[in-house]
Amino acid sequence: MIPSFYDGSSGVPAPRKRAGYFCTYTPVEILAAAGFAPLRLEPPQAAGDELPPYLAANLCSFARACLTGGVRGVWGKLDLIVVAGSCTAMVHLYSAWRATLPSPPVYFLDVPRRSGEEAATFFAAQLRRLASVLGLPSGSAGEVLLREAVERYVRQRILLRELCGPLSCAGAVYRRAVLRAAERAPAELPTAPPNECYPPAPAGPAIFLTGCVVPDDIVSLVEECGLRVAMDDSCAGSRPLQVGDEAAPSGEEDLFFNLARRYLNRAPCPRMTLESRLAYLRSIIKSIPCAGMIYFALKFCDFAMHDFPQVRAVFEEAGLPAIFLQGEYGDAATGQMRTRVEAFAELLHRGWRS
Amino acid sequence: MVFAGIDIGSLSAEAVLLREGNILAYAIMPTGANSRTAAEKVLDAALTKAAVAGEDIIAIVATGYGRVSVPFATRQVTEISCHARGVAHLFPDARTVIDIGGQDSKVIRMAPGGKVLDFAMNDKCAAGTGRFLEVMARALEVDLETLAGLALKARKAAAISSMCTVFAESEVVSLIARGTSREEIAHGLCNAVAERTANLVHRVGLAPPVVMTGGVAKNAGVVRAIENKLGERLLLPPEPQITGALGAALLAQSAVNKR
Amino acid sequence: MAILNLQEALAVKIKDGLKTRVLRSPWTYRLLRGAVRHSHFPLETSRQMALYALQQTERAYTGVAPVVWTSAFFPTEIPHALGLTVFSPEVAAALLASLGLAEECLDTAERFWYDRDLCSFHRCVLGATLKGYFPSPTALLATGHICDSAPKTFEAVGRLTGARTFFLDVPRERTPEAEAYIAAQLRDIARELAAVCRLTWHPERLVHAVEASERFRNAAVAANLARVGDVPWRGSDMLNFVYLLFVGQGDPQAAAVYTDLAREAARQPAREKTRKPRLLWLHLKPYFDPSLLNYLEEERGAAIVFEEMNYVYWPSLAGVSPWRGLARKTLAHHAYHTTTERAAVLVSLARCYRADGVVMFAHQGCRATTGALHLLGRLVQQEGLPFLALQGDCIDRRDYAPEQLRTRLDAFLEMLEDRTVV
Repeated sequence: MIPSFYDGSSGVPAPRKRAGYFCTYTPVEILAAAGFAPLRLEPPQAAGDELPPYLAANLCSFARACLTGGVRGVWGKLDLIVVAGSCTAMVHLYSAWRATLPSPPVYFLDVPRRSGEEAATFFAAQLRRLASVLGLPSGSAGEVLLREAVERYVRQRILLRELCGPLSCAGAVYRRAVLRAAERAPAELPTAPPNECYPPAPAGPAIFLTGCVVPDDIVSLVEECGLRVAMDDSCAGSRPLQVGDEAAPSGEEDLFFNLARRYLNRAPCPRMTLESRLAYLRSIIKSIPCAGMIYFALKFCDFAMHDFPQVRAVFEEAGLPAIFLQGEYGDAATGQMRTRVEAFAELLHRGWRS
Repeated sequence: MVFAGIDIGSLSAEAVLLREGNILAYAIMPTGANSRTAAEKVLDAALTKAAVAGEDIIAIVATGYGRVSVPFATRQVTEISCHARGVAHLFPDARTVIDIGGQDSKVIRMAPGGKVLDFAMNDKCAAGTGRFLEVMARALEVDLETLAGLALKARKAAAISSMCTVFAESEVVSLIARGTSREEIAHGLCNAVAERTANLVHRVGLAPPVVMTGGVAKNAGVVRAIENKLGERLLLPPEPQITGALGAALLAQSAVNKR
Repeated sequence: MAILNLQEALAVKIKDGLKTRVLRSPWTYRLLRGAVRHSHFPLETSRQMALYALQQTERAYTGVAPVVWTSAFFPTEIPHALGLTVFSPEVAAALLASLGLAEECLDTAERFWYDRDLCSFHRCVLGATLKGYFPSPTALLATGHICDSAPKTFEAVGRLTGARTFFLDVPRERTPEAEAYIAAQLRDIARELAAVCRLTWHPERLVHAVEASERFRNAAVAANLARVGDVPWRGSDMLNFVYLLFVGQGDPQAAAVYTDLAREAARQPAREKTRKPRLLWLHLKPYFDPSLLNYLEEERGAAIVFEEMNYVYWPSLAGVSPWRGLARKTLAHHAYHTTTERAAVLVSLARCYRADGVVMFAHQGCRATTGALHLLGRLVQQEGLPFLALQGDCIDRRDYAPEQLRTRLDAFLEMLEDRTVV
């Protein structure tokens, strides 16, 4: 069950510097190649509001929770923060973080909202600059380091897709725990958390869980209601695993361009165009059998809210029922939410049994 | 020379009569459906208490939501300026005022003399206001005073996380259904109000001494919760509810004296 | 679409039935032109703008040329270079709100699962599209800068109407690579837009459009400079000129209207000194209720000395290639990068126009302008300028609490007037 990379040794020394990032459009390969341990910063769900309250109440609660996490120092000492300008909320987070927290240094990374040759060329230039700011040596020395990191992540994602992908028989909560363990220290080859500590995957109807940032308590809630999460299409779920075609770069293609292209072509977050989201979801519907879709949008996530009516139509065309859930990052799994998910589960159970 | 201040809030109306800087009399009553009638009635009540005739009043300043519906007022001034002025009169050293009224909560940072330096008010919704507590007390089937008493008795607090009055109400209902004690819920509600208020305080910056005014200042549960949240003692006027009307009366007086 | 301060003239004509049939009839425009010529306008140039808006609306509904919808801040020089009719659905949403027709559009959008937390401009656009109120687009041009919501709205409209959607992705940082990326996208958009509209792209026509845009910019700078000398215009009237900013750049006619505005500004006497306090106004206004700004500027006698929306944030387009110039322009917006940068611009505007305080009409659904508003307020206040955020909505009146807004505004004015000092 536990893939080999968890118990073997890669011989890569553990980096001492830690670079935090929020958005999974941040190419961790570059951080790792430059000698940083990449750490995805997920704020605790029950952090409350940041003080002083710099971000407005009508802004994404995930971004607000990130700032609170920073103010409260929940991530310990970090040597660098990378804020990807994924959406307006993250750009405001960048401003507020810089105004509130004097250290560590914060790096702003522009990430295009579309794919294609021009976008990849632009993004590759951003990545080259990031690498140089982080001190990745130029020329062949840096290239060797980066190629090694890229190949390592390609291998890791392939393994993780087997373990945490739609065909996995493990529960979604457990899959998230494995992904986190792998994310924390791919170079140190950590041990995966023991499966028995987590609830097994329910035997009920399979659903496709999608939206923007889907908090852990929603995933637990869905499983508690007897639904099996066939695909956890979210930042903390399997979305970052679908980075491009995963082909290790050939000798011809520029490494930065390769990374840029693959990140922009990966399973799209709602921040990308509606067209790309719909194309991706259509392909998922075809390849993964499921009985319905649960769509979770954080309140004030314009991208996720805008996409829902069209996403719903795509699932409806395929004869799959869909529900829309909306909540705050801090307390998403409320009583009302449970009622909605339970009712949806009842509906699917009836359809599933008949 | 008598000066009057009238504060027509969303829930209650207050009038204060002033002679040479001293309070002659005051009156408090529910606003009801008609602001104008409330203004007349509450002023009449104060006049009766002070045994003063209406003709003796030199100037009237109206404040609060209903200030525009007091046609006989000499001038209309917002409750922000009036609370600052009233507090400066009662506590000359005060630098911050917290006023939680029926549908608005506000925090005022001020200079000596009652000059307003900055203020912050709640977002559009009524969360964290007097109305919020009223709705929650109703969900708990107690009156406001009992709610405060319950909160003070509680050892721990239930978590009320919702920002919205409507959702908080259903949160309370489900806490009751889960068998959480009313004391814990009451304490949780006071903490929720305190949390919102503390956020407003931090928007303008916390500067002691801090004075709390408005009807909710009579709620010991909320007062204690805010004190805990801010780590700062709150000073309370003898009758917190009339601070706005007092400030209005003082402004009426100083406007005439300036002339 | 017609402009915002025309509602008195338009409401009667349109309110009874905003039917596309009515809007497609040339008679409607003849009648409205007559009304515009005989109505009172606060500025002579407002009348010019109203006539220009009517002409554009007539072109849009009668199909003289293919219609493209553009989102705010999209470089309209490109569709103008193709001779297309530019329609701003966001401005049209404001007009619907001023006519009291927004609610039914908002309701329609909500029935189609558009959440109430989304920007009401865009919900209204989606609702109006579903109801068939707007002229059929041949193509949709959306830019992602400043607004996350517009490109998604336009993409949805594209799916509803079958029109091709073009999305301009604008990076945040001003770098040569960012310029090159935008310029490349604009080139592609222009080429494909021409193909979609079955037109030929003539590079020299873009040069002409950029020249018109430059004349527009020069006139806007001149009008703004004249206003430093304290032109006695109302901010609520000046906010209406945002229409030209959104649809007119690259159109010689719009440049001519703006040139007239600059001339009219130069002719004005200075504002009377008694008008106090003096305010810098951020974002827009509640279009369904003119009374808030009327109260501020008429009853209270305060002066809006400048509006952030009318600030010429972009550099001159001269001396660089048209593509590069347009790329620089999209990157230049001061509210698109850090809050610190926006605050610095606001402070310098406040100083330039001698404002006593800064007021933001914080449109509920606008994440870009209001998301960090407390931080913005703090940064502006640190420079000694009082700051007020009036939380409201430009289009959706359903949660509107005028008394609450007025109390906040009054308290702010009292604070500025220092009335509480004894």
